[in-house]
Amino acid sequence: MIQILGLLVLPLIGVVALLVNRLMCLGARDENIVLYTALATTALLFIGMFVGFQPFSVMLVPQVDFAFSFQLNGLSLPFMLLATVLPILGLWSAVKEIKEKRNLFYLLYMLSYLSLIAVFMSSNLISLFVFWEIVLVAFFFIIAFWGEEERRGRASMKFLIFTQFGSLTMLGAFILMFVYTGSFNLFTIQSLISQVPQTISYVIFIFILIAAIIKMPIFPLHSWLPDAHVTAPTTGSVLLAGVLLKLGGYIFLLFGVTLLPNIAHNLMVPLILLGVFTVIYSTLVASAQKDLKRLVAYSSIFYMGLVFIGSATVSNAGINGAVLLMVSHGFIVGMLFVLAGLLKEKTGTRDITKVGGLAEKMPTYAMFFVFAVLATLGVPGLSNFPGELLVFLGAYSVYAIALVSLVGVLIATNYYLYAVKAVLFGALKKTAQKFSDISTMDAVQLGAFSVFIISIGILPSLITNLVGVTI
Amino acid sequence: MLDLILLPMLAAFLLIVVIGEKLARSYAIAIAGCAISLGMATYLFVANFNSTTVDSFNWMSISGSNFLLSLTGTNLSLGFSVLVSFISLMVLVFSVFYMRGEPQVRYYSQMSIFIFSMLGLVLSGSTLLFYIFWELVGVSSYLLIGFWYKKETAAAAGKKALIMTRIGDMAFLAAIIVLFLSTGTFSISSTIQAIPYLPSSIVLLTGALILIAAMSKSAQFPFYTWLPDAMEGPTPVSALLHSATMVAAGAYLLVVTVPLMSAAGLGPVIISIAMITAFIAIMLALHEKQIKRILAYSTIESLAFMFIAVGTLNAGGAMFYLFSHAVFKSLLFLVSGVLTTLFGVYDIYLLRARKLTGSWLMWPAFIGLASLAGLPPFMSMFAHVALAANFNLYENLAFLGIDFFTALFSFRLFFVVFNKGRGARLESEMADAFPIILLSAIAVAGGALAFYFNSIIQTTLSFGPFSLLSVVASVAGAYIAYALFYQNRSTSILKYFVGAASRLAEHGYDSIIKAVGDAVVRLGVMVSELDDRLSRAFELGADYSLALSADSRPIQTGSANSYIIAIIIGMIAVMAVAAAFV
Repeated sequence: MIQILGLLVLPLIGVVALLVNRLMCLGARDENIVLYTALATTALLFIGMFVGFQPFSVMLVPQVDFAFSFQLNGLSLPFMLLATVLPILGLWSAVKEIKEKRNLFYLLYMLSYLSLIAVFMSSNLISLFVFWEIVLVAFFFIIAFWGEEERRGRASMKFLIFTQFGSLTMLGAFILMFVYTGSFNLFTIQSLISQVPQTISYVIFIFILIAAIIKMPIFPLHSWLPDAHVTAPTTGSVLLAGVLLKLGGYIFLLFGVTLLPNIAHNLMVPLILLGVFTVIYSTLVASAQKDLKRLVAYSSIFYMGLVFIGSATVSNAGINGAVLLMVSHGFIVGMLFVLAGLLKEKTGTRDITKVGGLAEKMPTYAMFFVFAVLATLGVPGLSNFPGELLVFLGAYSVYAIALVSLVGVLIATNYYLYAVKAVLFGALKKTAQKFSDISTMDAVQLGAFSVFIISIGILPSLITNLVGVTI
Repeated sequence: MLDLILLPMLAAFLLIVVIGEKLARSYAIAIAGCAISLGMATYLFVANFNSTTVDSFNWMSISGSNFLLSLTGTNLSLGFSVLVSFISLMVLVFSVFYMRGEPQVRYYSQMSIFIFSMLGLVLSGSTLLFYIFWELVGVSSYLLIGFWYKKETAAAAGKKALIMTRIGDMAFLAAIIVLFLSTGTFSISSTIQAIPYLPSSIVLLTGALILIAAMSKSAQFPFYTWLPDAMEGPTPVSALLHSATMVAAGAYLLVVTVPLMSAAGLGPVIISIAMITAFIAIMLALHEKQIKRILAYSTIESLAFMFIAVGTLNAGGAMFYLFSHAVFKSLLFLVSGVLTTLFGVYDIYLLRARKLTGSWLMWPAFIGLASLAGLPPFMSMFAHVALAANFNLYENLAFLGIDFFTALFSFRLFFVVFNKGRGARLESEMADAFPIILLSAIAVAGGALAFYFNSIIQTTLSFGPFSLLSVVASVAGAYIAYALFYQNRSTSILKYFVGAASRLAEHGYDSIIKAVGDAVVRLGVMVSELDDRLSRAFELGADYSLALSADSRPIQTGSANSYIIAIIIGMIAVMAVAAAFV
């Protein structure tokens, strides 16, 4: 058994090391500190997956049941995998992109790394909320300080206001849970939830739902996402889409679907329809995008729509599919954002209508681009397929009309293949004569993403075995 | 069986990851992988004859239900895998000649991935695994069709092929999900056994969905337009994809699910769709001048034949025609590949100017085209007979017309290219001559196989009056082609007849598809403007709240006097409201 606190102590050492490095002017490379502590944390997580974790709890304010308690619940592990691995995969983009206030950036990066892991393993709702807020604030600063200059002020404010509103409704739900069960402990709440009156349960569910709809995001509260993505630096986008959006799916599954399955069941049809609408809506909007990052951002909404459908089915297949799709989407969308960042780095633009024929000059880039697009389209053997399959299975088993969302997959096929054709194929544009292929480090970074995408695609049981909730 | 499938994948992996573009003879790896696969498939076919072997693997378990992936070796699936790996091997050998000077590793690795997918599809024993390979076949053909990505048309053709076939893929996925939830199994044989116990609505729904999947993969009406465009790919790719493998997967799917089609009563639907497709393909083939596109239309027609056989619940006939078609169609594509590499033109009238009559290629071309027309004594004639085993009178009569026109367009191709001009001498080498000669030999002598095919899948060879009549119709078609295109009699009647129909089928119909695509994009633009407006509305709300707070700032005067007045007004208001309610 491994003490679960180790997963927080290691990143904390990283935070402290970054601070010391700054204050004492040691001159160590900040990204190396991040890399080594994150690698150590990941190693610890993998060991823990085999030998098990020992829970940790310390009561801070007994009157309001505020404790730092960390214990795995049935949903933690797949998300912790994302939260520990993705920041490592995205790090190389930061090394290339972040030129000013580097120390501060990595400090925020490490802080959100720590907090994301903490959110997924907190079993006390107050500590969950505290770490949740730290992530939001850290990302607000990442967008506001290192985002693209023209838009970063507005985009970061928009991100903060939207997600903060969601946090508040979530806090409202937590407080209601405390009032009616007398505890902020997840497991206590789970055992006492039947005592909560029906109407209050509905209010709790709706509050959690609003928080999830903002965070995932689902129509109509999604408009912060494209702006935040387009503005954020590549690494920021990788984490934003790869892990932060999954916070929404995580709390919806944890406090909505599995905590209050009866209410979720009563609201199933409208929620599934909302998901189906989001799927069609976001794919249609994505069809009209010319900025590659915006396109990927809207297609993120599409996949989170599928996740939402899967969760809303309140069925084992749907929930497993939702988790699998979230993990898979984390890696795939991360890879796509890295590719979009590379496009900007190499050609100076992300407008897919302004580039063309890049496959000739950048064959390695082209190979990874096609691979990532095929992965995101749910080609079997790659990680999105098993998740999509389970979501559709769950959806058909409870509400057959949900299969309409297969149309979304077709529209996505159309715009992604269009993007591939526009960026990579056709004649090389004159302005592109001097472009060089991506560097070895870029290829290593993209290759690392690919390894995860292929492994999960061939052996989805790697992830589904980590899911421990059943309806 | 798994190792049999994985060998080409291993070759692709070696090519991409280990070797890279450095090795000039990278074809050797792909050919070796495919040849060993062929050897193993043949061995398994012989060793396990008349017994069923199953390799099973539990992909994942979700709360008690297992997602089993299984490979099943039966006479049919192993026999088909022998065919697939054999044709693949021939095409890979030919590629050594054809793809010289092209990016080797990219080509051979993509071909190997394609062969892997197709072998997997053929041997799949579970619907889920069948679907997985079905999609992989589609994706690798997307890459291969768009191989010359610098050409705008090739890139567009690859995209079109994948999108059109993906419509069918989604239908297939839906069918698998419905079948799994109704029967609780992914196993194909268990699903087939469960059909009688399923509600008829489910049978009809899944039957229709699977039919759509097969139609899109096999380029039947209304999906056929991607196939002629797919001729933008390298010719060996066409020879592999559009003979034995990719498009044949649709027909194979129907062969596997014949009990479902029969239970759903979809036979007449399949026959009508395939008849329409055959008619369109004939018209287009008669009108077309590009040699590869003529072959593409003939492929669409041949696939329609297989569909018609399935529609008459004659799976054996469809399968034997599939085998025979695989041989002569890949042969024809290879011949066209030699011609187009040597002369760089695709137009049959430009090829006529090269005075090809008498060159060695005339014989393979004749064998292939006579097979297409179903003339005796070639293998294809027996396949035509097997195909017609369950035909009723009307189908037989319709087929006489089809036979006539098929012979007409295939011999038009022959007599236009091999016309009165003689004397060209064509160089040849092992890599192109060997596969062409071997395939020709099989196309000639393979008819003998017809009498053994019954042990692979139940096939009936019944020679009746219509077998004779259809040969007569074919000969008549060939003679008319001779008169019109060799002797150059007036072709105006034919032109008039064919022109209108093909214009409608080609340009009219294609523009409808384009319009649908454009409409989706336009809808996307509209929704996206709506989305921008929604986004701005939120921002506007935020701006207004800021403005509101700025406006309300002067109220905070700091003078105690005004505060007291405000408090008094407020208290009066509260009391007034309270009084009103009490």
